[in-house]
Order: sequence, then C-alpha cells, then structure tokens
Amino acid sequence: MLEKLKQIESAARAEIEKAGDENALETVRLAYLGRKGKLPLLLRGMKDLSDEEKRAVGPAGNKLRQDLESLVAAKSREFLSRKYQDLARREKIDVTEPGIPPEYGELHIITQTRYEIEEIFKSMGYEITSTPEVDSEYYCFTSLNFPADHPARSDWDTFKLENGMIPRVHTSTAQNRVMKTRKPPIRAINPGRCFRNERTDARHEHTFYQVEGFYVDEGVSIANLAATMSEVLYQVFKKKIEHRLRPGYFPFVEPGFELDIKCQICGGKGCPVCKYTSWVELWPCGMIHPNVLKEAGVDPEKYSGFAFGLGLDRLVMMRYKINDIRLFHRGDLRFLKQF
Amino acid sequence: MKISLNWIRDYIKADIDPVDLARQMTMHIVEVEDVITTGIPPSVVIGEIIESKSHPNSDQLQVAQVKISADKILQIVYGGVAVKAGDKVPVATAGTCLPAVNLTVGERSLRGVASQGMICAQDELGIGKDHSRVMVLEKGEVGQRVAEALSIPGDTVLEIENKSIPHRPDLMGHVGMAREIGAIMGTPAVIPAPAPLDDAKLPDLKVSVPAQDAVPRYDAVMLEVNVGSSPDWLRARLASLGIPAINNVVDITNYVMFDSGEPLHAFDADKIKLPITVRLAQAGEKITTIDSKERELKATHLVIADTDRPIAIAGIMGGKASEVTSETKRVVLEAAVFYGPGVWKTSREIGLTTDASIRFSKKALDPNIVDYALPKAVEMLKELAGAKIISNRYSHYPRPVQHWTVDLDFNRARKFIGAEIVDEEIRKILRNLGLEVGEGSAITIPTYRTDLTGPEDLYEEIARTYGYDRIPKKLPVGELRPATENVELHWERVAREALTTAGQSEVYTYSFNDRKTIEQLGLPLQDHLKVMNALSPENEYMRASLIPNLLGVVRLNEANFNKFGIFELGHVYYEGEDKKTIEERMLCGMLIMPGEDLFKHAKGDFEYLAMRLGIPRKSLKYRPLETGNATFHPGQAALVEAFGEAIGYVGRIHPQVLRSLGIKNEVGFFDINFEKLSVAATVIKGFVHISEYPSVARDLTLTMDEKVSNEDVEWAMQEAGGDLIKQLDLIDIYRDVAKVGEGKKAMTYRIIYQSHAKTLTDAEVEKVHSRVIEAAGRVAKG
Repeated sequence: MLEKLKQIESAARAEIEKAGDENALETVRLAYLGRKGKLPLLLRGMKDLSDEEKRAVGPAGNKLRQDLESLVAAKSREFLSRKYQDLARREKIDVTEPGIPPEYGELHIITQTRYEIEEIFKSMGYEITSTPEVDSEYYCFTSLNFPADHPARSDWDTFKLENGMIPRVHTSTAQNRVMKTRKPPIRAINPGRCFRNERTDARHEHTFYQVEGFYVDEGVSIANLAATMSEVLYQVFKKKIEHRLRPGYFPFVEPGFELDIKCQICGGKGCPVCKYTSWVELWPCGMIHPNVLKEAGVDPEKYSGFAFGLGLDRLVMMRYKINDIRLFHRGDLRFLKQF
Repeated sequence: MKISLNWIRDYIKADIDPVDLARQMTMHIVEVEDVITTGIPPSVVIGEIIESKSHPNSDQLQVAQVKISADKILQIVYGGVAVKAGDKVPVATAGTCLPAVNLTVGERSLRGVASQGMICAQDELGIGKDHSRVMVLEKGEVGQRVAEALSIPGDTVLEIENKSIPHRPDLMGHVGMAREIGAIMGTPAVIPAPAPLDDAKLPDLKVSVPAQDAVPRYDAVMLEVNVGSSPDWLRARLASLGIPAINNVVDITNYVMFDSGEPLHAFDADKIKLPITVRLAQAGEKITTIDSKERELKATHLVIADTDRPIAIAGIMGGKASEVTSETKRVVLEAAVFYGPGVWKTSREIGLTTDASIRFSKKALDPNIVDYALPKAVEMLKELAGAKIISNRYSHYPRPVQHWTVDLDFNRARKFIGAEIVDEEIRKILRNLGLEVGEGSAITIPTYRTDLTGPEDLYEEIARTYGYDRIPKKLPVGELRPATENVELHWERVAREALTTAGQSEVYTYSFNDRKTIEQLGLPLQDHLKVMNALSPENEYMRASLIPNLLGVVRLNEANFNKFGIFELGHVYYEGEDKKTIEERMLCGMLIMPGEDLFKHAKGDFEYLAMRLGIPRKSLKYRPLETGNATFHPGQAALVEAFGEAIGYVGRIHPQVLRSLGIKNEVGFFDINFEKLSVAATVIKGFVHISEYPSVARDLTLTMDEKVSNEDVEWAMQEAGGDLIKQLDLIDIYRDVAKVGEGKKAMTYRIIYQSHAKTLTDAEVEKVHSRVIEAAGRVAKG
C-alpha cells in the first residue's frame, strides 16, 4: 500500500509539474485528488487493511493529500501571477485624464447656510419656528410697536396686496405669534423669506432672507445679547471676527443696535464693499421693547429679552465674496453648482 | 446730513479731533459715514493778470499770463468772461484738488496752448454758484492764500447716516448734536439763549389755524428788513453744508434750521394778502414752489395760504410768488411745528423732499423748539439785515408741552445692561445729556427729548453713553432644555437632501409672477393675489404655482447645460374661501434629459423622494390627467394620490407651453403639495426582514389593450401572490402592430417568489404563479 502511495506521489508530482495552464492543472487535480481521483480511491481501500497497517498508511496518505493540494495551489498562484504579469503595460492609462463625475445636485447656498445657522442655535437650545410669508398688518407692524402712522406701514417700502395682506418685510412677524403660544424661557429662531418693495441692482433685492431670533427670560441683559452675537459670529466664520455693537433704531427694540464686523472682503483695509470704513453692517439686534412683550402677553416687569434679525444674504455674500445679490434668485446652475 | 465741526465748536470749548470724534459718534450716537475737509485749499493763491489775450484756436477761451509771486508767472487758459490786466484772481496751482467740483488741477495743453494751472470761478472754490466768470478779488496780495484773504476758514464736515435716528428730531441740528457730543466727551455743550422778542405794543399779525390737528404750533412775526448778501462767515458755514448762499434773510432762516433743527420760512409780506390761514388744500389747488415747479395738491395736503391762494406747502417748501428777493422790504417770518406723518405723506405724494420736510417727518418735533429758533432768527436778522419787528408775535400753541419725569430704578438698569455702572456715573451720564437728575429716582426729561418716555429709554441712554463696547459679554444662563423639533422643517430637509442625492439642484425663484407668463401657461389669472404697488410688471401677482418661474430657470440653463434637474421647495399664495389668504408649500422639480423617457425619470425621482419620506409605495396612485389641462402633456402626465388624496402632478410639461416660452427642450416635472406630502410621511419606517431562503424568478408576458393600466395589472398580481411575491417589476413593453396587434401592448413582468419561512418547492411556486397568471390575465382582458 505504501508502495502504491509512492507511485501515485511521483506520477502526480510529474503531472502537476507538466501542467501548462489552469485547465490542465484542474484535470490533474481531479485525476488525483477529485472524488473519484487515484488517491481517494486508494485510501478507500484502507478499510481492508490490518490495524497496524492502517496506522502506517493513514498518516502517510493524509500527508500526501496535503502535499499535493499545496503543490496544486502553488502552481495555480503561479498561473495567476503570470496572467497579470504585464498588466502595467497592457492596461496602462494616462492617470491625468479627467474622472467621470456622479450626477449630483446641490442645496442652494442660502439653504446650506441657513441649515448651518439652525444647527448653531439648536445647539444652544433654540427652537426653530416657521411663520407665513404673507402676513397681516398686525403681525408685520402693530404687534411690533410700529406707531399707526409709521412710514414703514405705507406702501412705499412695503408690498401691499389687494386684499390688505403684506408680503412680510421682516421675520420679526414671528415674535408675537411665538411668544403668545409659549412661556418663558423662550428661545427661538424663525428663518424665512422677506420682501421689500424696491428696485433691484447688484446690491438691492426685493426678496431676501432673514433669521429672526429671540430669547426671553428673567434678567436677560445687553451683556447676554453681546455674548450670544459673538458666539454666533465665531461659529459662522469658524474664527474670531472683530465686531462691534453700535446704536441703531427699530421701533420693536429698545435699545437697538447694529452689529458690524470687520470687512471680510478687504480685511479692514478699506474697499468699496465697506465704503472704506473697514466695517460692514451685518445685522440689527436689540433688547425687545416692553410694548412688544406686553402685546404678546409677556410681563415686561418680570421678563426681558433680546432679538436679532440675521441677514442671510449679506452673510453669504460676505463669506463667499459674492458681489451681486441678484444671483441668488436667478437659478443659474453655473452659480449654484459652485457651492 | 452734514455736521460742521466749526459750528459744534461754537458750543463745546474743547479740543476735538475729527477722526476720533467720528469714531466716538458712530459708537455712541449715530454712524458717521464720511469725514470731509472743506474750504478753499491752501494751494489756491492770488494771482495778478499781467496780460490776457484771446485763445488762437477758440472763441470761448482766453490765455492769460498770471503773476503768482515776485518771480513766478504762469500761463493759464481760462473760459468765460475775459479779465483785464491788473485784475486779481484766485489761481489753483497744479496738483490742487478742488473738492467742490471734484477736480484735480494739472498742467496740460488746451486746444494747443499750454496751461499751468486754473483760474477759478466761485463754484469751483465752493463758495458760490457762479460759473459764468472767473472771480475777481477785491482784496489781498499776490501770492496770498485766497482762504486767508477772504477770511474763509477751512472746516471739517461729518456726514451722518440720519436714516437711523428717526426718533431723534433733536439731532437734526447742530445744537442737539453738540449736546450729544458734549455728553460723550464729558464736556457738556453750552448753548446761549437768544434774546427774547421785545414785548412792544405793535399791530397784531392776522393768522388763523383751522387745521388744528395737523399744527401743534404756529408762530409768526412781521419784520422790516434790508435784503443784501450775507457776511463771509455765514456764507462759509452754509457752504460747508453744501447750501448755497441766497441773501441774508433766506440764509438766516437756513442757518437757524441747521442750528436748531427747526425749519423756518420767510414770506415777502408785500406779496401776500393777510390774513394767513393754515388749512388743508382744496383738491386740485395749485402752487408754484420756489423751485419753479407747479404742483397740484390733494385735499389731504396742508398749506399756508393768504386770502387768495396757497403761499407754501406746510413743512416742505414755500411758494415762488412770495419768495424773498432783493426787492423785499418786509417779511413774515414763520416758525411752526407740523404733524410729521402728514408732512411725510405729502412730501412723498408730490415727490418733493427738502431739508425742512426731512426734519418734520421725524418723530414729533418738540414745539418748544420754536422758542429758541424764532428769537434766534430775529436776533440774527437784526444784526445782519437791519431788521425791525413791526407786528406782535402771533402764536398758536393750544397744548403747550411741559417737561415730564421718568422713574429710574438704578439696580434694574444695571441688571438690564449687565454692567456694574455705579450710581454716580449713571447720574453724571444723564446730567451731561441735559436731563435733570436729583438725589432720588425721578429723572426730569427736557421737552426736546421726545423719545425718552420709559425706563428702558433711559437704560439705552446710560448704556450707549457708557459705551456698548465696555459692557462685559456674558452668555445667558438657563435650563438645559432641548428644543422641540419642528416636524415641518424636518421633512423639508429630508426632501431637499433626497432630491439633491437624486441629482437635482435646488434653486430659488421669486414669489412673484407677471401677467404674461401666467396667461402663456394657461393658469387662471383670477386665482392670483394681486400686488397693489408693484414697481415692475414682473412683481404684479403673487405666484400661485412654482411652475412659471421654474420654467424660466429651465430656459436660462438650457443654454449652458444639455442635461440637468432643478427643484424648488417654496411657498405659493392664493385666495381661499371668505377672501382668506392661503399659503402653502409646494415642491416642484424639472428635468431635462434629451433622448430619455422624461415621464419615467420624473416619476422615478418622485418615487425616490416618497421612499425617503417613508411613504409606502402602495399608498401612491397615479391617475391619467383630466381633460382641459393646458399646462401638462395631455398623454404623459398624471395626477398623484397618496392615501387616496390628490397631492400633485407628475409627468411632462405641454410642448406647446414650452415652445411659447421659447424653451427648446422637452421638460419632465413633478409638482407636489408639500403640506399634503408631509402628512403622508412617516418618521420611523418599519424594517423589512431579509429572507435567507432561495428565491425563484418567473417571467410573464401578457398582451393587452393600450387602455389597460399597468398599475391595475400589478395590483391584481400583488393581490393574488400575496406575501410570497418578493418583487414585481415591469421589465419590457413591446408594441408592434404586426405581432401584437393594433392598440395593443405586450407587457413582460418579472416576478420573484420567496418565502420567509422555508425553501419553496417547485409545486408551491407553480401553485402561486398560476394564481398570479390567472388574476393578471383577467385584468389584461379588460
């Protein structure tokens, strides 16, 4: 029996060695190691042997099978590596040729920035609210302490619809609605589209975007407002931005402020965008006027609050150095696909 | 608005650095937009004409030899009236910058003759309007600076952004601005009170004020005057604000307005017929104003009238006919306070904004300002125009305004501001602002501070004077309560992200439509809300659909891209029942893909969106379009239903619409009511178990009539196959008259059977498949 194993071994080794390709190798493998191959057939005959012979032949047979299998595997690897050995030459390309881009779409740059702003405020516990774009005179003006004959109520700066409604001039329309339906502490931002009746040019647009925000609680101070604005600027620009609060006037805040930042276009050296002042007016803010709180059912004796009207368009223009505000609504994919 | 620093220095005796002041004012009061140095530049000197001849190549020009110093003679070409040898003229030497005409003088050649400087006219030096001739100076030496010879000092002018101080009429004059500047510098302004009007027994000036509500105060007095020109210092003051000098009387009324903030007017008393009436105009009444324009008035416009006609539009401009001229002997000097919003409205309606109207249009002007402005003007008229009062002072002031008090809680002020400002500093700040502060909490407010009515107004005064930049920043402290999620906005985000993943780009379009596009699209005009005061026809209607503007975007982009997808998630507006304004969010997408099946791509994008929103595919149905829709392709568009409710449309835009809008490509679209779509959306989708047992695929081809809908066939198969159908796809549609017949289609479906419980035997698959074939066949037969 051992003698027969030796014969199989030498014949198999010779044939494996001789095999010229993967198919020939497989034929050899099947002939010796397959279910009906020479080695399994021989080993199946072991059942007729004595125990002593079995102990000698068994291990020898198993070892032979392993040796042959690894020999076949080594030969097979050799074929595979030979198959691809001149791949570098056969399939050589110019790696500087362009890639094929996927079909991709982009969110509008104002949406992207708005989402970023939303995340910043969410992380500070602000709720995000949404209110109508076409609203009543009450929410646009009356609830915000605009006197009955304030010029803004007239139809020169404000679009007026035939049915008396107003495409909102600011997102501050949310203040009364949101405060009325909640109890302090109230932290909310209200992003959205606003309208102003003016002719358009590179710097003026009748349609623009604001993120109204407000915080109402006991003891809210100007110091709180200043710190929150600083924090938001840092989060938006991802770096310390030199900024300042200076007096501004709006009927629904007292005191009112303009938040200015160092011009990001020229770095404060002076340019047409900052009108050579090195500062750019970014957005207005202020302490909510007690009449506004009262009108919304919040006791101004007990609570105070701050509010701001972050201008998204201006922010995006500053961040990406965009010089024509009308690009936002033109729908030109050559512009939109850049972001 | 311009503020002259020389003027401010009349009231504040302290060193003022213009640039530092501008910064301080911006931080504490109001933004200073520009700091301008005015006056005649030092490089403009007196020259003596040695010789002046006609220009060889021009009839209008002269060539002069001008001596500007003992040893320097310049050749200068000049225009206008010729001057003669010996005349002294202002010469701007090369390099001089003349701000009045925004010109830098250089050495150059004019029509072939070299010119080494410029001989100036009044307007070029900014000291008058005359441009017709060069100035001939009466005094001064050759080489002397013209500014010095004419005693016209230079000034620094601050340009103020006065739109941001509508609540501060007191800041619309130098007196009020000086008070503020004094307060921030800690050197209170000193404003000398003018001498009160003499109380002599003189004839009454006849005035009546029927328009009581619109006129809180009306004072007037008649004077004899000698009209002449104003002294140089007064002309220079006005010039630095950009106001031309006219004559002493008019210049004084202007001066007092820029000083006090109270507009004054002088009428030629011999050109009006007393009594004066302050009344509303009659509709259609006309007046020619000083600017020589005839203006037609409405019945809401307030006028000053004599017995015959209006002589001024109240608070805006006087009439040409009663203008003060060099012939004027007697004037009626008026100082009044008119109702601001009325003046503002009139000014907008007649299209005339003046320095006076701007001041009245601010929040309520303090009527007591008249008691400063009128005596001040009279004092100056006496001094500079030899004036004599010849009537009693008329005064209409039915409800005199008294000062008032505001109670200030110092601790609350500190808490509100968030800074530890000690009591003494608070008192000092308020005192410097002109407020009366005693030991207690009552603060007395002078009447010119009409804006200070409550404690929060005082918090502002304290904080801004103290300095906003000195308040230490401190983030708010509160409960760490997470914000309530806004579900509406959540679905917007999911939808936007889904569509961009599907390759579509988000666009924004205006909320407005123009009439023409609405009509071209066949949309009903009466469904659109109309804008009353649109500045251009493009903004005449509020959009009731996103489609018109998105088609505009398609047209723009097809010039640059041959394949693209866009979408907008925006609001539309229309009038609902009871004239109620309805506002809804719509989601509209458009596709251009030449050579592709646009219907299938648009529908596919929508189905992907629905999947991302967790809307089960089985809850969506597509109905053929009802007839009569002019916007969509009649054969390739569908009404979409979710859970049995119509939510929008998907398919192709009607080619006729596209051609009429000049769009070359065919366009696929979906237009979905986002309010309804998000109602159908689900927050947490169920998990579908993945079977580990083998699946079996069977194909089935059925020939059916064109009018049989695929959806019905699929539904029948789904129902018959039940849970064992793992997937069902339409893999081929074959149309061939010869092989399948006229009006017929051969539909091939691939059905994949799989069980979650076991390996299906051939017999089991056969059993269910034959049920499916039978059900499908029934539907296919119609």
